[in-house]
Amino acid sequence: SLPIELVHRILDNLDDLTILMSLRNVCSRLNLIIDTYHRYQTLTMLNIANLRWKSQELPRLYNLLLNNTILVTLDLAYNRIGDEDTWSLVNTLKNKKVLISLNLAKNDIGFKGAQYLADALHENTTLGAIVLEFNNIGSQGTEYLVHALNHNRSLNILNLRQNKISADGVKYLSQALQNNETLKTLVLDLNHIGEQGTQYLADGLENNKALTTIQLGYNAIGAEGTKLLSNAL
Amino acid sequence: MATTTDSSNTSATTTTENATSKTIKIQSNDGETHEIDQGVVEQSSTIKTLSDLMDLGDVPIPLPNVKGSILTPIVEFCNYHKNDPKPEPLDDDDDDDPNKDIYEPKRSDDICEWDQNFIKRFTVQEGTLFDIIMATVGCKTIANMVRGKASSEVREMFNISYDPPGEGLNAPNAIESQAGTVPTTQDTSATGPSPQPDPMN
Repeated sequence: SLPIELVHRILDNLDDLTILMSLRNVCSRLNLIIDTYHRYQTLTMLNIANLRWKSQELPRLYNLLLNNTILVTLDLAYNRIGDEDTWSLVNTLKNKKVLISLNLAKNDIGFKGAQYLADALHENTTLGAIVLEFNNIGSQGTEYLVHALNHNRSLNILNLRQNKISADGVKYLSQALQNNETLKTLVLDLNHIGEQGTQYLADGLENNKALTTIQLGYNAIGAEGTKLLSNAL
Repeated sequence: MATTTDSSNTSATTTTENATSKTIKIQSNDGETHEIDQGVVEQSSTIKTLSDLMDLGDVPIPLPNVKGSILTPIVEFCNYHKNDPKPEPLDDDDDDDPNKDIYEPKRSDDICEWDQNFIKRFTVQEGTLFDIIMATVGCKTIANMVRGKASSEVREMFNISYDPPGEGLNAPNAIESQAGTVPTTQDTSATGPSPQPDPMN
């Protein structure tokens, strides 16, 4: 078999993604060699945004995540993963003890995808940040996520920018906020919260001590909504 | 045999006279001897070090790790590439170019046709592919072969048998087989967590 130095030389020619996706878990010897490879040892962040994954390529990605012991941040934004593939994807996140930050921005994720993600969050204890901006989870998807928030004790940052969330969605969200003590940042710009939604939000914030940042830009909150909010704070 | 010095002198006009005039003999572990010129010597750090260390004259440099059947193509390869421009030194300093994407994979699709045909002469089955990598000319090609492949395909490609490290999670087809499975839940009105079967169990 090849000496370690030569395998390292082959790895020199490969990008991070290929090392993780194609060469991890080929065999235990190769794993051992990769463990000693300097680029792998410091590999905590993988940006595979905007690669337009084809469906047949995704299983390799799941394999990567399933066996991940080193990646802390994963950027999968702009990949059009969709609901069905989200299901497979989040299943790899269950019980994982490594990944802390997941960016799924602009991935055609609807309320079903949100449902799968919520399931995973139930069992995941490490994810601290989830970015779901520019998806389509809507109020119903928000409801699923909220159920997860009631149980999850690790999520600090939730980004739901531009997700077609209306007042109903915020209602569920504010219920969760009353009990949640970990969520620190909530991004809700570019939704359709409106005055009614702001009222719900203000109710939720009244009993919440953890949230430090909330973004509500472009939500047609109106002067009345602003007043409600400022009263709650 | 492809290793001759006379054909190189015409093509090597850009190199200095000194570089083409001196020749060195190298010998494989089964006694095959090749005469190589300075341009070729420059490409192999091992031979260069050895030839710098000792002035051997007519005595061939022994290469105990290399078989004659592999040395011949290596010399051929080096003769073909001896006039290539020197590779630029690796730039480890990433902050000099703010636009540079540090995740951008190294380019390695720039293997010329000659090299591609060259590497095709060696196979895993005969063991010659590994021999030629041992001679460190094939790393880039191997890298190209595995790019975009699943780990199971890599195993297949290199005749590697799978030896599970003891965790069921690592089974090669654990996730791949179910990736095509689409969740069947149609109950969109459900408010609780969906009752998806846990594929990890």
